[in-house]
Amino acid sequence: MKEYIVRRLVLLIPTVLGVSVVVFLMMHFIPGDPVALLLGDYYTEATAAAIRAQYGLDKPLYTQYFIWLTRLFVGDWGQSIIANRPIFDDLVYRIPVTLELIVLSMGFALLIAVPAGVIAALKPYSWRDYGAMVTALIGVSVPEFFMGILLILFFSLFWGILPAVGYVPIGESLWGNLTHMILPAVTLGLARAALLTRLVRASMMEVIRLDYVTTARAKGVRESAVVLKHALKNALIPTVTVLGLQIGFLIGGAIVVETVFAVPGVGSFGIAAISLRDYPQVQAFVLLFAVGFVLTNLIVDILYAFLDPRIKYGTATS
Amino acid sequence: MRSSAALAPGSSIDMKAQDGATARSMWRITLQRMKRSNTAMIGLTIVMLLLLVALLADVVAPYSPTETTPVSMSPPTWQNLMGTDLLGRDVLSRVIHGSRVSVYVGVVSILLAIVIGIPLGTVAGFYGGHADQVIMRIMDIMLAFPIFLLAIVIMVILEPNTTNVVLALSIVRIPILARIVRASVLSVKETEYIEAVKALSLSQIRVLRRHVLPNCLAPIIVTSTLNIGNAIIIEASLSFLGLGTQPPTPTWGWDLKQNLTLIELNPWITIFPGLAILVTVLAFNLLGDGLRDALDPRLKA
Repeated sequence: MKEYIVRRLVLLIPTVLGVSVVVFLMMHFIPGDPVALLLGDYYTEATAAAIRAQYGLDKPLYTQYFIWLTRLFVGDWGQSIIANRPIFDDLVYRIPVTLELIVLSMGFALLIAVPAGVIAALKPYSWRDYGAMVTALIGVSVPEFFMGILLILFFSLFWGILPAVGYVPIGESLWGNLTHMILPAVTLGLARAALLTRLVRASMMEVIRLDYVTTARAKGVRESAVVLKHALKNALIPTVTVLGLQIGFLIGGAIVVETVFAVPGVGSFGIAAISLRDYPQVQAFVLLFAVGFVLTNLIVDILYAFLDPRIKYGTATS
Repeated sequence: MRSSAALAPGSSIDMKAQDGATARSMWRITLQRMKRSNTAMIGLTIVMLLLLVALLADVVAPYSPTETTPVSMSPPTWQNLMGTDLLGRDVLSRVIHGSRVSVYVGVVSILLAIVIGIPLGTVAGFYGGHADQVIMRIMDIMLAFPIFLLAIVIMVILEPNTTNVVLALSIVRIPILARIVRASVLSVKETEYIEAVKALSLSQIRVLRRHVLPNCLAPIIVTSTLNIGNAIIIEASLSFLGLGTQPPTPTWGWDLKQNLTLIELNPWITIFPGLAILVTVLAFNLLGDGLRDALDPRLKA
């Protein structure tokens, strides 16, 4: 087990470096000269050369890459062009907001998916099963922004129960924070809930037929205990893995959902930067989400190895 | 070896005939199984209708999608079944024309990804070694980005237009397809059936094309159909964020975004483009689910 974790950590290094190279090169593929963009009307050959020297843009590409990488490690994520302040300061404020959104939406997805999947699996091909499956299929087919708009339309505009957009920090008011986060979290969680419902149902139906479940029933264990303790526990293993794989979708979805609900997280920060062509900020946004994605995948893999002792982590992954 | 060389010509003809027969019956069986599933047929019907509407948009749409009229922000009426937007354009006509970009991007990007992903995955799986290492490491780095984020990155580098959206959406799909193809090739490669074909000393390309790849078709078809729906969602999301097809070409995502600011005045014109996306994606998902059950019941997720 320890060996497995160490090997995964070692394998992490080339992946993260690869991601950083892609994000670094991205800036060089963007058409247009950043120095010209920065100087605007004040552009002259002399000032441009001076700026290039100041930012190290006259050095070879690989030197620039290493300088950039070392700065990232000491928390120097560059300066935003439009806001003219360190990007790192913005990120420190925005990362917890995005994390809260993702955690709440995952929680919501599980809260819906596990009971719905179990109920559907216990009586397969009943109206409850069909109902759950049709809802789930529609759920995976709705784009997040449309779902968000529908929720705003009903809960904010028609019924006036919840605020449509905006954000209140937890420090200010826990209640205010939650009421502002409910609609974004539900929006982001619904599509995941739909997918997980199908998965919980499928793995429940597989597990509930196994011999050990029959044995549990035969020795007189209460049906609720059979379902919850014996069957569900094992049926949840694939669910946890898929939930981990869904993190990529949650991160992608967070970009859209934060934009729709004006939640000040990393995603809306990135989209605002793209429309303002504030490329250092775009770079920070992409790097942060990609590295966050790689790290969560690693954590999920390790958790999975803990959960399912049958997984072969001794052999090389090929 | 002597006997196999003597056997080869005759047996390869036999195999060809047999291949044809199994291929035909595989499609026939698939179709028969599909017909039994109501949901799959609903999906297929909607997809067919959509393709028709997209092709014949000029004929089907009651008005021009870009013509402005004084009738601004009208709710649904008999003249404008889905109402009109701020500039007095007919929303129904815009939704009909918007199907073009969505269906085109969804289908073509997946086809392009298949055309590039299959050779990559096949080479990696069939030949192994250095080729496998190089290809799969590059795919790993691409997979280190969430799909939507990678699509955004590509659209930031490229100019936002329909062709580049197709390009971006096929690039993000390639590593997934390459992985699936590689895994199927690896599993098929070791079967006794392929061992037998190899023993007949057929050329490697021939073994691949006629014997290995047909056995990998089911997962490719199923994943691709399900991915079209997802590609359409991403296309709409990119348009919604202003990173996709640019106006005046009507797209569902951009229209939704435009009409969103007016949602309090006229919610209808936001709802219809959204419903159009929902129905389209749902249709491809129903079809994909049906295909999966019909092609290979073991693939059930």
